[in-house]
Amino acid sequence: MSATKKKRADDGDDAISGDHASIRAVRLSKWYGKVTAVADISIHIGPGIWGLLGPNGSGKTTFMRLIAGQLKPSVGRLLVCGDTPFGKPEVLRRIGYCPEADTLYDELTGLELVTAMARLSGYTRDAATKRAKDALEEFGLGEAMNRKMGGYSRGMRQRAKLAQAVVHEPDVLILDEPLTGTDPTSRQQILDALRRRATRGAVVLFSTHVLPEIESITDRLLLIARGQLVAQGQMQEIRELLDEHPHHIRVQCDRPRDLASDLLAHEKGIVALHFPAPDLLEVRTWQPEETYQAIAERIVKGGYRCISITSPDATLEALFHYLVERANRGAGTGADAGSGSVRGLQTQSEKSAYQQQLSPGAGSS
Amino acid sequence: MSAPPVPSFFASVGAVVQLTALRTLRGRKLRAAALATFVVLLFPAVIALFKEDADAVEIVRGGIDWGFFRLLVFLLPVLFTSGTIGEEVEGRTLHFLMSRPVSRAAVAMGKYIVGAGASLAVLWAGILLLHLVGFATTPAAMIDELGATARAGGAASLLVLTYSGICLLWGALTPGAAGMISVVWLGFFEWFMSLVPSAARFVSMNHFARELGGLERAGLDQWVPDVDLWICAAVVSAVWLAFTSLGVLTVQLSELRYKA
Repeated sequence: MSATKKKRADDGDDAISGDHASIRAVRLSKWYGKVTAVADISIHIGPGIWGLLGPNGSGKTTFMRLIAGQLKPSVGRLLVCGDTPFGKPEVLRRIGYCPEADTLYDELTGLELVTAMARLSGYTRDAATKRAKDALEEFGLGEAMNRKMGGYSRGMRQRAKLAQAVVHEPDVLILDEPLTGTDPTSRQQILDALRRRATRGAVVLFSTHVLPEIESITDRLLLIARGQLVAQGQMQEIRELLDEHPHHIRVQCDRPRDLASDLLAHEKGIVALHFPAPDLLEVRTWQPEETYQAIAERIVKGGYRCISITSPDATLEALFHYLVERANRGAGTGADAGSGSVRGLQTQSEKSAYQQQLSPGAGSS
Repeated sequence: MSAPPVPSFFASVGAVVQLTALRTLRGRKLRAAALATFVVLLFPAVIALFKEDADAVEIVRGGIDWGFFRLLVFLLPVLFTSGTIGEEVEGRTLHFLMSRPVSRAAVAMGKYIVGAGASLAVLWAGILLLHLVGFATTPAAMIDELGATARAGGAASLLVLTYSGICLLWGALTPGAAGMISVVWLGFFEWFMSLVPSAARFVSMNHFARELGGLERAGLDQWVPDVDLWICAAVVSAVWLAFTSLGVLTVQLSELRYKA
């Protein structure tokens, strides 16, 4: 690899102009009839590994299919390596795409599929076969490459899809949920392969709805929810944002209203209290650790019969909703996200405003 | 990175043909087509081989007329071409082709070539077998009939190419219902209209192909004007090229989305 490319790979965002490996979207939108799948996304990313994080149905796949040249934008501009990808073989030759769907040509062997894809990428028969074998071996399918894919396990099928995506050594690698169904060993193989390509100067964009998957390979994140890019930045910033996000605690006990009174009398940081069911208390708090401790103490002291203490915030779903709400209020937008930073609730006044927004819900006290 | 140059259009078509042909050879459709052809051949074969005063020439002509012009020329393109795009859209495997540096037109063209080619291969295998059945009973007469069989086969081939083009277009326009719409279209415009009286049957390419193949006119043939054979050939060829081009163009311009 040339020194320039190495530099580009190390610099990340800095080298993303012209026909270098890059993805640039300007106010990109895509809708199907009345359904908006991607709304007003603006980003500018360069070589390195980027995690695209979002809940199911958030628009990740549509966004990736736009980048992979499978769909035409409804509005806005999308440039991959400096040119629009839809229907442009010159751009498509630099893109590798691993779709999410678990579908393959089951009547073909892994080697036949990947060889055919290499042939379609412009390689001669011999070169295509050699590259296909190398790609399949890289993903641990060396022994299974001559078996029909109809007999592959879910993880093997995933790896076959990855092999066809990288067989032509693309500059931009778009991977939609690439780790689904893979075991820890093959997961490591896949992550290593992605790291190698990023080091060589490729843009690797991979989507997931599982935060730890991204944490294991990159600290650069794009967060997408309801079709909007709600945040872009470093993992640490996302973590801080998670800390700022008002936390939910759900307590199932015999006297939830008494427990709520106890908590309100002694505990600060509580934003709202909900009673979704006669035996349920839901607490929203800015200080989750202190509140957990306070709830435990009150339960012991008050002699409550507690069945469970859980947090609905265990997934990122809550964070996404929070970010979308924030984006809708104008505190953060796709354009804001495009600036390359995550902006949490920075001031006490913002927190107060958010508390007020949360408080008037039915059943709150 | 070391991505190779974009392959030429013909190289792209070649690669798509190779991939699609491999899938077709291993798929069920070829077996289904062979079975249908066998059933079509069974009836004339039984008559030719077991009826004492059977006229082999008439049996072969009847077999080509009923078995091929009225059945297999419809069935084979629907089987091999109508679903060639739709199955990949619905099965979500089209990503693999569309994310490659080949034009969508090359993908459509490659799929059309394999679909039409498979239809022609089965068609000609059936016609030759039918002729051989006749040859087994009356060799001399069937040698004289060889030219007529070849002429009918040529006309049926042109028809298969045309119907494959129609199926390709509907496959590109309505991937999810291509088979059904192709059947309705071919059933009405091609089969039914080939039976009506007057010049209305000129809507049907089946009529022109029958004229071209030297077959008797089907259905109510009153008031049907005579047309020169070269005009018949030109009309069918023009329709073939028009539908095929439209099908390729539709694939080139369409996103061919699957339902999420």
